[in-house]
Amino acid sequence: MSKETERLDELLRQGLDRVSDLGDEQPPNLGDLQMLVASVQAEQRQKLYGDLLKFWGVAAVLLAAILLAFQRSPIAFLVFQGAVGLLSLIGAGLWYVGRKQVAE
Amino acid sequence: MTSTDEARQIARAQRGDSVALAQLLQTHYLPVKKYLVSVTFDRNLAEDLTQETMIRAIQRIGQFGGRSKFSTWLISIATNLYMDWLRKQKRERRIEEDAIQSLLLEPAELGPDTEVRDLLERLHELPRDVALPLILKHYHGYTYEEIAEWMAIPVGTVKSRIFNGIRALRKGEESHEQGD
Repeated sequence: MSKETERLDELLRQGLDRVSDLGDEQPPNLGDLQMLVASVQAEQRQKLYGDLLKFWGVAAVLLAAILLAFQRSPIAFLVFQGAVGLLSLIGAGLWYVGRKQVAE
Repeated sequence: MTSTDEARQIARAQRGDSVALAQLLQTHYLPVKKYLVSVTFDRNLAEDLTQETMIRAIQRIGQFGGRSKFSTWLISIATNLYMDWLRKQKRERRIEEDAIQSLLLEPAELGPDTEVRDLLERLHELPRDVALPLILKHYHGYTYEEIAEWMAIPVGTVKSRIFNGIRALRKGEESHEQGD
């Protein structure tokens, strides 16, 4: 490190020491922080339960729709399932070939 | 507190001990705030970001893997939050006004040394995305890799920003000396 940079670093250190001097400031007391921890964790739990509820709700609706479709027209349902499977395979194949070409 | 004590406290906090987590946050509260004042030059903003950092730490304590020190992990969260704040300000085009409003602290707080005060003013005039890596590297001593990860930019960009920052500070110093 050059002398100039060392000097600049020293000035920077002195200046930022002064800027960030918090004097005799005290951190929040433990009780307040415990309350913060409890409230954030409670909020997190609530959000998790909400997300789980949404997930199970959507899953139940989808499952009901699938069962209903199968009950009404089993052949059309199986043809649709087969087509989706086939399209997924073709999509995966194209993606793989594309990636291989990019790598080459 | 030794590093072993802290590791034990972290493990307890990760198992759901809220007292251990509160104690950890209390220990690191002022160092995080001090860090944020040094990069933002704004005590109010530093206070807000410190509280946000603590909330983020509570939410993510389970993800702390011990690869870095706990203090470094908190600094990375604080830096991310500051970067988010900068992006939001930029989007809302408020950065210029805020930079002027929070232009350093009171002159009395910067001490009588004009050389230091001028350097701080030049540092504050630098674009924030240049000043931040410079302060992280030259004042706090973090590595280029750490800074790059926290700022989500390549290591080369960190190096060039620091280089440009130093050059700008030196240029200002030279013109100041010539002016004298």
